[in-house]
Amino acid sequence: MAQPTFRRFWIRILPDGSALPQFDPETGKYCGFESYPGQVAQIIFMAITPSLAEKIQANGDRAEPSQLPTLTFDILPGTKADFHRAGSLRLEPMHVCGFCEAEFAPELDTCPRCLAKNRWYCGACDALVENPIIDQKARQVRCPVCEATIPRGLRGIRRIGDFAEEKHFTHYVLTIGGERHIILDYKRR
Amino acid sequence: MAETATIYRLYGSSGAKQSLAGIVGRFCTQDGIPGLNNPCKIPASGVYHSFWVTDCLGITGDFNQVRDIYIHGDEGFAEDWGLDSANGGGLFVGVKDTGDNGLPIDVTLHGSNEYAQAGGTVGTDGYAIDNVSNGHPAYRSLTTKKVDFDTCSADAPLRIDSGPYTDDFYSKAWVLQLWTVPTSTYGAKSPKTVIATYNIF
Repeated sequence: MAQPTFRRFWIRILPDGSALPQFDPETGKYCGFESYPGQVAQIIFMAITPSLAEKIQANGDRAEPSQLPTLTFDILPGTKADFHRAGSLRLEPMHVCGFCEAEFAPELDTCPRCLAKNRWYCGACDALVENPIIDQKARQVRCPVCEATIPRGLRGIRRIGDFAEEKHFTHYVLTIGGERHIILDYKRR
Repeated sequence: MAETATIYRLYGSSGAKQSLAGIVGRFCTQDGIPGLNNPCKIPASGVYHSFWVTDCLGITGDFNQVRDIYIHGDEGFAEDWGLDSANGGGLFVGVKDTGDNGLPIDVTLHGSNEYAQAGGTVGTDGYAIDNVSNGHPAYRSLTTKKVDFDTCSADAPLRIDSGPYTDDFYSKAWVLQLWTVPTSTYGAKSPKTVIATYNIF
């Protein structure tokens, strides 16, 4: 179950000067939806502060403080403005180490914390084999030392497991008078 | 609370939903979470198919409306997995002739339930999505039936469900199937990513 991690939040300023924030600054409660039926004078995007992030998390949402710049969009009276948030859920493959439970990128064969990796064991040599013969057609993994005499299969010793991590990204889409603005919730490197 | 989103895979005759969080959604030749059992085979001739998989997006939380659900991949499935797309191998997704490409899976939410359990010869070959007799009932009689999932990129995602939904929901489902040919390569494959996107109001 993945939730978006908020690093900036919006404040909607109404024509009478009142403000409708996405998160209540006192309690951190998620109180705003992206769409608002009435006229809006301004939308401000502000970085989540450390104290607000704590309050938001206490309410069950996910947030982390950031130093993203404040963005202000003025909406002139009579101008059509559409505003919504876009969510993106990715199933990212990951490795997990069976020894130390470190989670790491699938490109790595070896656990970066404890150096564990999947190995092959030869019972005849009573040794771990570094460079086994992988015969994909015969679906066999054999010992290169024994191959010259009596070919022998190897036993896999699996120490690295696989799982998919859900990663949730979000950004805002604000269209004012036909002009589209994408407001990211993270800093592009 | 803001929304919580999860991708589910449907199994069995009734389409029981299993979250894919924390596990690996492998393609295989059985209907069920496979682990390392019943992997896809390389045929001596012709084409072998994985059992098709039926996935959907589930969203709960506080929102006015969710709509415009699309999926895309990180591209290069056929190349990275050595499926030999030039000779018919590849990862395919079921498509409709018009409207949403997703499969209605809930009468209340979508108006009908077109889920179909995957079938075939366990351990060897699944029914092709587009097979006219035992393919997927929701796609096999259509004009296009399926497209190469590698064409569903971030710039051209596939629309699964236009919605809208105003309360907790499961989206329409997408149906994926892996095809292997004699020139496809054996062995474990590198991990790849599927991304579901949506607009929330």
